[in-house]
Amino acid sequence: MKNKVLVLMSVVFIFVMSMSLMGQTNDTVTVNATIRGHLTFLLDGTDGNTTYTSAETCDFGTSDAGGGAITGGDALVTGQTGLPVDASGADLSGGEGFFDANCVGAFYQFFSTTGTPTRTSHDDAALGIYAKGSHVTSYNLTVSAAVAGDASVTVGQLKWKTNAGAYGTYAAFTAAPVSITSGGPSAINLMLYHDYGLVVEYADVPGAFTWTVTYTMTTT
Amino acid sequence: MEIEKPFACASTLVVPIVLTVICLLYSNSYAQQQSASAAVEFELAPPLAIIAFNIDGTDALWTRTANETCDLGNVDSRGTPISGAPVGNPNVNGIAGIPVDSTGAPLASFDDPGCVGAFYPLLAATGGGGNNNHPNSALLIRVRTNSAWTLTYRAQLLAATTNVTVDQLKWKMDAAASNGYQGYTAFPTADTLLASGAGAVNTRYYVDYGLLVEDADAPGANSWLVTYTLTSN
Repeated sequence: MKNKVLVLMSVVFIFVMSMSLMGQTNDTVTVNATIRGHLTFLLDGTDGNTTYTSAETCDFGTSDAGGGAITGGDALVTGQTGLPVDASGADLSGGEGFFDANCVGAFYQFFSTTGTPTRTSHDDAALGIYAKGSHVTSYNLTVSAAVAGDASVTVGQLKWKTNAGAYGTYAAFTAAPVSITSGGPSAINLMLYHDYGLVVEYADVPGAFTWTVTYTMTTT
Repeated sequence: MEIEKPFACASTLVVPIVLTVICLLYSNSYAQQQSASAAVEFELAPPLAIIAFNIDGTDALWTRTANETCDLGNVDSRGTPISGAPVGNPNVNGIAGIPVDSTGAPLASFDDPGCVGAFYPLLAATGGGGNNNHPNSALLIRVRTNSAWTLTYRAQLLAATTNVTVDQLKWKMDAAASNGYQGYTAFPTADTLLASGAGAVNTRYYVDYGLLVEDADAPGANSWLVTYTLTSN
């Protein structure tokens, strides 16, 4: 009988001890969040207000094939003069200039200095292109253009280069989209500064001309 | 885990067993009643070490349980106010993220070149917490023990999109100051001490959470599992 009591006491002991040994326990919190993608894609032109929008206007005022100083237009471009250039775009200023027999007209640069542009101050570049977005598999920034006005003026007379690029790196705008930059997989964080340039040729019929330049960011 | 009223538990479970022992001894042999007395003394064994340990998250229930869920809904690295109700908890709906740099310092704009994304403070205001409700903190942790104790925590990602890491979820005590996410502690994957004591305790902790969403993070569903462990002997 004594053994039975000891066994029973052992059972009680184990039972009580098992309760007191419940000395560790876990609680959990599950935190759920769905991350959504986003893209901010804006431009700032020559209006001087440093406000980025999705539809900017660069008003280059009045210019001529003789390179006369621009009148009217955005304050930043007023007073700009054109360089004498030949058909290849070469600067003829070192020679006879506009009197050179090969001179086809004037090339206006917006803007020729390189400087150190910032997002809110790019007096040395006609255009600020700002793109910031979340992680994407790939991205591709393209540009295309169209011109409205007399047919004597072609879309390719408006040109662009990167702010840091040399004079010889201007590229003519085209009707078909051309890639400016691409990348991924990564986040998008672009701040690009572009210079514009306009060739005004003697062959151009005077009048008003408007180029619509479209920048397109495509992501996957 | 809810383990309430341990003394009530001892009286209803342990005592009947001891009384049964006494009856058996009496019916068989008076001489063995001394052993039964020893059994009665044994009833005074120490009670449960952990009396209460439970938490409450960002749902609107104010009900503490062992397994809570904080549904933060939709967020992005631009700091767009949280949306997603009814999936997202109403308590966090509408909270906006603030622009931060890589050190966690707040910035004036998401357009700052140094901005890496948005930090969502959940919930940043201090005070106002009670035994159940905690409108100014994401989490309420209730701890009650009878002896020395330690409270640790760790986290893991149950689901993650590209570039999301466990430490993008952060925490601080409700009353602690912060600047951006400076002042918050990133959740670690290994058990890390949150608090401890040499004796019995009956206290509550109000914990703010914060989530960093970076531009580098790929969109999609992410899920963190945070485990709090209370040890007491």
